[in-house]
Amino acid sequence: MRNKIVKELETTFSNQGDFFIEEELVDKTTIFLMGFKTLVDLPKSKLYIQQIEDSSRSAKALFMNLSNRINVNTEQLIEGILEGNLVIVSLDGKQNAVVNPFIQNLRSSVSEPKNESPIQSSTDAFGDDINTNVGMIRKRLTTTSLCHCSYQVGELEKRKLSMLYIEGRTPNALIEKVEQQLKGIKNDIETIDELNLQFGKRRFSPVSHLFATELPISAIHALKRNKIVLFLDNCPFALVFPNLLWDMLFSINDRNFPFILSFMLRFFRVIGLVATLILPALYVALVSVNPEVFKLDLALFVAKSREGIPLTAFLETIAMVVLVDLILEAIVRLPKSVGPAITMVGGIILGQAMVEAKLVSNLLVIVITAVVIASSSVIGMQNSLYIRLLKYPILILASLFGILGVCTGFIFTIIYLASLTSDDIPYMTFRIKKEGEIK
Amino acid sequence: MTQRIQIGAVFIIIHLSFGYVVYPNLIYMLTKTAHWEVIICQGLLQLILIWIYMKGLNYFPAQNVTDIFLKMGRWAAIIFLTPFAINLIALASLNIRIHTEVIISIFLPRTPYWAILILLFFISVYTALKGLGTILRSAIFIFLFVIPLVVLNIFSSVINFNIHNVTPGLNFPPKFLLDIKFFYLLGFSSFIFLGFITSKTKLIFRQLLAVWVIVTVLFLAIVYIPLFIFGQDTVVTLKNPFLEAMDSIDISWFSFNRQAIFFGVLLVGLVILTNSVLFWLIGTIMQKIYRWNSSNWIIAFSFIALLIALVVPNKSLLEKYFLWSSGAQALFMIIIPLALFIYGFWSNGGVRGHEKQ
Amino acid sequence: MKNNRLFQFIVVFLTVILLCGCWDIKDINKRTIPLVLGISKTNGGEYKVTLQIPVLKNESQVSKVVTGTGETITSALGKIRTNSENAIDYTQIRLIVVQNHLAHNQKEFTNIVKFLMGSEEIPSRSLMAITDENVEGVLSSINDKLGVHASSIYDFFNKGADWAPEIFSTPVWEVYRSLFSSTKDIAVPLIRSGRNTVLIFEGSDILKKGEIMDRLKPEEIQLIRVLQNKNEKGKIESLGFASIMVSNSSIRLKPSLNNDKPSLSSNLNIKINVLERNDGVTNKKIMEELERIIEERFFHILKRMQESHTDIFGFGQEFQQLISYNELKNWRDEYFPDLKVNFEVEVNME
Repeated sequence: MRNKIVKELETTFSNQGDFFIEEELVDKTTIFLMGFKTLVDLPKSKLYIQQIEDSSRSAKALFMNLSNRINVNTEQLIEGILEGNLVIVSLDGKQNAVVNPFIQNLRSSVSEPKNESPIQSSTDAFGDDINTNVGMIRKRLTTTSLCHCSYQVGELEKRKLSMLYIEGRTPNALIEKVEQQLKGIKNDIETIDELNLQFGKRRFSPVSHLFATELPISAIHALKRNKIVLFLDNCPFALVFPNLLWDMLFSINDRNFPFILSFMLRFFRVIGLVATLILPALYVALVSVNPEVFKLDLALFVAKSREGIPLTAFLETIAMVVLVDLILEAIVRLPKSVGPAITMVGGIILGQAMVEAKLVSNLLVIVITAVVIASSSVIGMQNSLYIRLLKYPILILASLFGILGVCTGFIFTIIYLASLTSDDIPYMTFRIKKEGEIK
Repeated sequence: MTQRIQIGAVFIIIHLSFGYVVYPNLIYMLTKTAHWEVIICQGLLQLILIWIYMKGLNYFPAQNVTDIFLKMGRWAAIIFLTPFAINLIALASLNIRIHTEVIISIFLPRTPYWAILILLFFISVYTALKGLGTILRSAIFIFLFVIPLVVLNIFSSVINFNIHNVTPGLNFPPKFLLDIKFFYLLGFSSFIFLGFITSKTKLIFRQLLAVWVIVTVLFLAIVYIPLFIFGQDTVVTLKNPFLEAMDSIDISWFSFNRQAIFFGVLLVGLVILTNSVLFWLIGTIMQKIYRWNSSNWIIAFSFIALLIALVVPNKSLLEKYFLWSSGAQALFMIIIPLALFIYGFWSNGGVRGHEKQ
Repeated sequence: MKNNRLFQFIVVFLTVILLCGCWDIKDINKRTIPLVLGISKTNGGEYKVTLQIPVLKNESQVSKVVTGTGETITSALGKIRTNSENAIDYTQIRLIVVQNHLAHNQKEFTNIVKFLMGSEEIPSRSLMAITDENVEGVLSSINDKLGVHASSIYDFFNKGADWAPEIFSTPVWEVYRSLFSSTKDIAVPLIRSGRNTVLIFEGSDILKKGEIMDRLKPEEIQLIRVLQNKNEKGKIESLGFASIMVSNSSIRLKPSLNNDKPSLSSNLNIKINVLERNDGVTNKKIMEELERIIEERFFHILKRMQESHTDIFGFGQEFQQLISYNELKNWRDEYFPDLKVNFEVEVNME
């Protein structure tokens, strides 16, 4: 029934869940409409074709009227589909046309990112609609090897789930594993973490398998770096699988600057990461366990600044760290209009009152401020949260063993992160190998 | 490629860990002049053994030492590898104890040693339980964290150098070769672990040579820094010459007072990784020979190691036992490569067939 | 199941780790940090230990002095620790002053140095000095002076070579090294309390294996520094008719051995600036006069040193290549007294 061209197109796009072929009766012959659901507004386009049909005498005239790109070869048809056009092929396959369709309304729902603020780059962010999101990727990555698989998962509600990857880049073994894991989902997926748990038990781990990003650019970059991108219906994030350590430090947006500048940005993020982990611990270690490390003048200065403070170094540090984390959380909870008030009150209380009341040392306030700033320098809110969590064990170890504790705590953190894997891909790997690439 | 770099990092870390504590003392006892001669001799001997070992392993591609011995026969694996694993327990426990003593004297003079011992044991056993992948991956990061400190130590100690403290000269004939201590010294270069990770990656001798050069240079630095600062006569009276050398450095513009702190920090990194490799080795060997879960073996044997480390009463006994253990290690370092080489040569009829196919 | 067991294992170990620890924890403001340690002996033969401790709270008083006695130094330090209000942390001690009657006893002094080197708390970087006065007096004199800090005594030694080239700071580890060295002896600075400044530098005692052999004046000490190849900048020399400043110096030593008799040729190059001069004094005259003075001074010291078999210059180190390790052990007694030094000074104008 279907002709050669249609079949060829069908096989080309067999991996694409959003590819459609519709048959339409025009002037007593059948024509095939093809395109991506995520890009083409089908009902409106059909209406348009019918309107044109009424004004044209034959099918050939219809094709002429619809477009000026008619009777092109198959490659151009594929290209046309990928560009988001509607392709029409007659029953015998002799006539075809690439039609500018009514496009899915992608742009209007596209807003600016809420959780990230990219500099010098496109400010589009993913929205709630899964088709819009996939469409945004398609719009920016026009290639046939971009594959799209759709799933409906869940027990109570069937939730739409899309998996995107680039064929020939992402390792097949990884794709198969993820496919199995997605197909094996039994319970409802309500949050990102419930999806995360499907990729293997990490209930007590702060590090997720998935890296959530709002920016289409980073999602596309992840695809190009042989990763898998998942979309969940009504979730305005691209979930990149697997999540790697370097996602926290390297963003593709950095590369909009010259290399040396982007290197600097990344280097600062590394400093921020390390500082967040060890700075409060180092303060406790140096002040209460190993003060002999300080040079004489520094030691006297620190001793002077702590003179008369009733709390021990560990207590004051942990109190301040918890307080700061509370403020950060409170700012998120509050409406935008009240947030600044909390910041101000917090700043005054922490910065002025506590020091003047001699409850904490002013050196500590400096340390804590540095930590708060440093912890925000990494990419991704979730990453920033988890390194804020990881500083507590190091802090406790430091309060017991001093510098030795800082050092073992830091090494233990490294070892812990190195032990994480998602589907046999280590968290600390630099890059994922291309399909077929040998070591 | 990545994995070869990781293996190289582990190789350097293990050598440094053994090299920093007892190694210099042993060298100072062996000779009074021309210390470099001893180090180079030991290094060359080690290189020859590594070469034999590599040759032996190359007869059996994609197999590790335990597999090969099992191929020889279960009895061979039991005879050769069980004592090796048991010696590894002793080595691990004494190594960690010796490091603990140094770490205590740097950081926490009032803390009892068992507290630190348990902390270090816990982390290295945890790493060993997580498997080889974790060890190799964390090795890179620990390497990146340790090497700058090593370099900092070497360069900051230059301000106290007095080149005239060292007698260069040449010892001829090299009498130290016959000294039993030289045999102990051989045990400090533990390359045996290389044979247990080869099932995944093939090692290339040329790359190992590069790593060997780095290790030898670092050994020279470890031995010569105290010598340049104190001189041979004084060095032999010190309990821990390298630590004292670090302690003598006073850089006035630097806001930290003690260079020895950096030495302590790097020792912690080294000992944790070294011991996790040792425990992992015990785990894999015992698992293959006796077919019991490797993490059970690791937990059981590390517990024994912890007990041994706790009961050793004092430092002089500790060093004596450590030397015995490293002597035993040296024995295995000669036996295992030779056994592999001979067996490989014999079973392949003198042709290196597998490699050429 | 396995994962669960691992988790239990981790929990157990973490609790054990949390239960241990807590021995070294003491906040820095709860610690007393002494800066200077003075060691002397009472008439009864007990050790007397004096500590100079900075006072942080009080504005009018910068430091206090605490003493304790005991049969050994450790017990004296322990007594101070017991009687102190705070925990005493000896790790910041920067200067150790030994009273002369202790320093002149070779056995006592050797023991003190060995104790200081072996002690885990007292850093081996701390400097050593000898005083002829009462140690307590030297340490407490800081309180009468105006505009000084608690760390002034230590700062005195740490001005840097460019600022005060005569001061010879000697850390504990160098003194310890000299106890065992067969080719090099050491100079320990001699101090007393000053009237307006905290300390006055009086010269150095020369120690051979812990035994005081001689006492050198500051300008002689400076020459020794030059010969040990430590760069001497900023030294001001008065020649009577002119005064000059040394702006650079370098030395080249060349050892040789003839019939077991060592000889050394040394070339000292000095660059000078003329600061002031009388009328009619030529550059040539200044240079010749300076050369003469330095050579005279050197041969004077060398003669004294050879008589007492003390190699303060460390010339023996230069013969490491020529004399075997075992022979060199007798350097001081067999070779050094016969050492011929061909000493040449070359002075250049900047």
